[in-house]
Amino acid sequence: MTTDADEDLEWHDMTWHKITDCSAYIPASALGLQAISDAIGGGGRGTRSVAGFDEDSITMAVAALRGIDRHSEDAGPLLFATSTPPYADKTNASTVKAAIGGDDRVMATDVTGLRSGLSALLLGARTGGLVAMADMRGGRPGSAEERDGGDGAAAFRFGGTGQPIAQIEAAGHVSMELMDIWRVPGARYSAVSEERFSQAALSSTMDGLVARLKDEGGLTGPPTFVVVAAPGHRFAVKLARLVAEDSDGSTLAAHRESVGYCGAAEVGILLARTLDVAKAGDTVLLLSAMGGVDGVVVRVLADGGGSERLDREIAGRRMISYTDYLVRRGLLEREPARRPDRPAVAAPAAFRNVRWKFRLEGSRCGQCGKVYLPPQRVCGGCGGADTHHPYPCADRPGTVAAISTDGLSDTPAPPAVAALVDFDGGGRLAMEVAESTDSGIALGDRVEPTFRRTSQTDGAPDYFWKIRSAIGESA
Amino acid sequence: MSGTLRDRVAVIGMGCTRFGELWDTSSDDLLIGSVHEAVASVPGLELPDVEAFWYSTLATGHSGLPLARALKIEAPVTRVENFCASGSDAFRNAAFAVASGVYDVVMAVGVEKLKDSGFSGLALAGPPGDNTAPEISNPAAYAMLPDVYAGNYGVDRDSIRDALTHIAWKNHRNGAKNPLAQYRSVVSKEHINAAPKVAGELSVFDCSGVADGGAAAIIVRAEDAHRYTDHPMFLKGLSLHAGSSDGAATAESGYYSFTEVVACADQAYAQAGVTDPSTQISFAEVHDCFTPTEMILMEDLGFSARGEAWKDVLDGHFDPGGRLPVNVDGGLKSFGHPVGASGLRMMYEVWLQFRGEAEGRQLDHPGLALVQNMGGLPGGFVSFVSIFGPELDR
Repeated sequence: MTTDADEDLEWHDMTWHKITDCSAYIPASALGLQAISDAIGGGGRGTRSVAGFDEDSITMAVAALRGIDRHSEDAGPLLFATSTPPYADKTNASTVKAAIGGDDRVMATDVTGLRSGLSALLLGARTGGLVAMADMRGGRPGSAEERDGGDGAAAFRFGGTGQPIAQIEAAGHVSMELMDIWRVPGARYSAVSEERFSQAALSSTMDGLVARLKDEGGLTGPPTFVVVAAPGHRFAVKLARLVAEDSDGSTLAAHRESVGYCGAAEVGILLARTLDVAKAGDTVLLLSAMGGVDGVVVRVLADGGGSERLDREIAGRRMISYTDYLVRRGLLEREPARRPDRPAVAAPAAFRNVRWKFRLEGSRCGQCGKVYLPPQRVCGGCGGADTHHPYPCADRPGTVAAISTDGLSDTPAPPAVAALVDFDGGGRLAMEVAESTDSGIALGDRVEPTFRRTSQTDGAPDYFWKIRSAIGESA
Repeated sequence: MSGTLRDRVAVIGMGCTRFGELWDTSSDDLLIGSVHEAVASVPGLELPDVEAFWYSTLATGHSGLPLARALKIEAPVTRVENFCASGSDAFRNAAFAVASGVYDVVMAVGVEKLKDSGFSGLALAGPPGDNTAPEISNPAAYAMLPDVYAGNYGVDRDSIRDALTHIAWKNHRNGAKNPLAQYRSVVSKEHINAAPKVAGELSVFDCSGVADGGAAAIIVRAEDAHRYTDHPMFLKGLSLHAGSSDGAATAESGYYSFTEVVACADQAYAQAGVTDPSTQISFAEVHDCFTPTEMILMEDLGFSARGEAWKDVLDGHFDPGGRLPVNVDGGLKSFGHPVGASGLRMMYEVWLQFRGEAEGRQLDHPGLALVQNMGGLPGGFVSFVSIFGPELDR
């Protein structure tokens, strides 16, 4: 597959893998920007998405990847893009890969920085495989970065089995050594330069790039859709209108009013949401304007599945208070419960039990069918020894067999909620409830596993599965 | 299992410290206090006469050394840890030791110093692991029981709440009459119902008291008992089960019955010749770590029919004046729960009742007494049941 783009454009004669699935993940809670205004000023209209206290870029990437059709026979790398990697040194993509499973004889690697989502998208189109991007954006209380930021993730599958839904036709870039937004390692907040300067520099450069894409990138008319990934809300919307005034920018507008700029994941979320509403034959102009300008022309190959699922999830989000937001971000420290700190994970045990810890893989007896979570060697059902086989449960829903709030255990959002879950097909496990405050989960409710961060204290992040309402079933 | 300890083992002396927030008392003080009191309760016995010790504690010390050091003894000392049933298991091992004939006089002593940690509730660090065990406090784990029980038997939640409140009210009222108890106030049902919830529907009044304390028992073979005291306490049956935790792993097991308790109660009853516990057991000390536990235990121990315990509780069957008084010393609820000592504390109440020394709460003509002690969480327990009598059967 090659494009007929002009040779002046980068990647012009590369082999492109087509997009065969994509998914956006938006966390289940949101902050009304008016709440920021009321508390400290600097807010505005609309809402921004906020990750759960037990979510981070790794867990949101897993959530997005779990939203796409994964085929175990598909090989290919896993590229993970974020500007907020939970780990430095250690590869974050390895954790994501462990949680989604599949053949591990692939390259799993990180790309970082706010532009990394776009890079991963283009690299994935070249290599095939999976691309995940996730980010949590914020800033000083009352800042534009906080107001215009959001949390979310997106995932793409390139090549492999399955019907293609879109393909990248052309991509163009202008590398700029521009101090518009930066953050040194360890810093809590990004630094930004005076926005009139950076926006002027980016706008004029983008003008030229879009003209080049229109002339040489196979765009015969105005693209059907235009989306722009840029930190500033008004700048992104304005730039889209400026460079493609005849194109549909409504997905971008809706995203900025309800979710916010999701950093490295922004291009992915915007593209996934656009592909949801696009029809075969449409074109999408995907632009990125920060730290340089990038433009990608995407041709839609199949009608999208509609925006209903995500629209419903976004509409159903729980609005949190500004103080809740500050606590989640670690900007407001809550008095901890008088309980011992959760211990650091023992690396050898986590390594031995990787399929349990990261894949929620129990065991099922080959003789009597009894299911255990975690896996067991000796069967209590038939007394067999080593009769058990791996039994994956991460994609299985279950039913709440018992549940209680827990006012003693430490959590950033007390009270914690714990539940006993009977998984469909067998297996019972006591689990923490994700995003527990006001979760509304009750005895007998249907639930599904969700990969979450479990550590409550500073130090190494730790992960395991919790449960949430089985939204997959209500769809 | 062909053997039984029925009428083969007797308790001839006991000691028990005050339970509570003992800020001015060390774990050594608790050991010395309970051991010296137990020895002093046996005329003519000296500490060196005790040939071996089983020392139970969940986390207050490791090995047998803390006991040997505090008492300045050099003797066989075995540390026993079996969660909240540690004290009972120390007694069990001591009982086997004299029954074997190897030793003539042994002691079980349990101690726990919980309050110094400053933690809310009971918290126990596990071995290094993969950190996949959920963070669920004990109150939250037990708070799951009432709704499951109510749903299983079709009982409305308010009735269950009334029964739990009655248990809390009863055990507080009982403890008020016990000079050694942690909490010595009568608490009204209105006050209990108005308390803020700690976990689920459970408030602090539904939870046992986290306490410091120690208790000790001196044990001999039954045939030797009358050489030491006119009022020995004879062991009639004894059973300990560590569950496979299949109840925690599979949906077949409900959260309205503790299978380990049923199994070891059956075993202890068979040893003691008890066929109808609801009429043959005179009074009981049971593991009321949380009020729903006591309610469910009434059924698992055969004191109430299945699904009927809440009714029997509300009808006062287990009050001091009822047909089968339960936890007349205040139980874990108001006597307090210093983990390693609790099993022996339960026996201490039986001991006092048999001797007519339970001032202010003395039962008339106490007969066979049941002590039930357990550790763990719903789904997987260590359970202990023992039965004592004031006299030899033959």
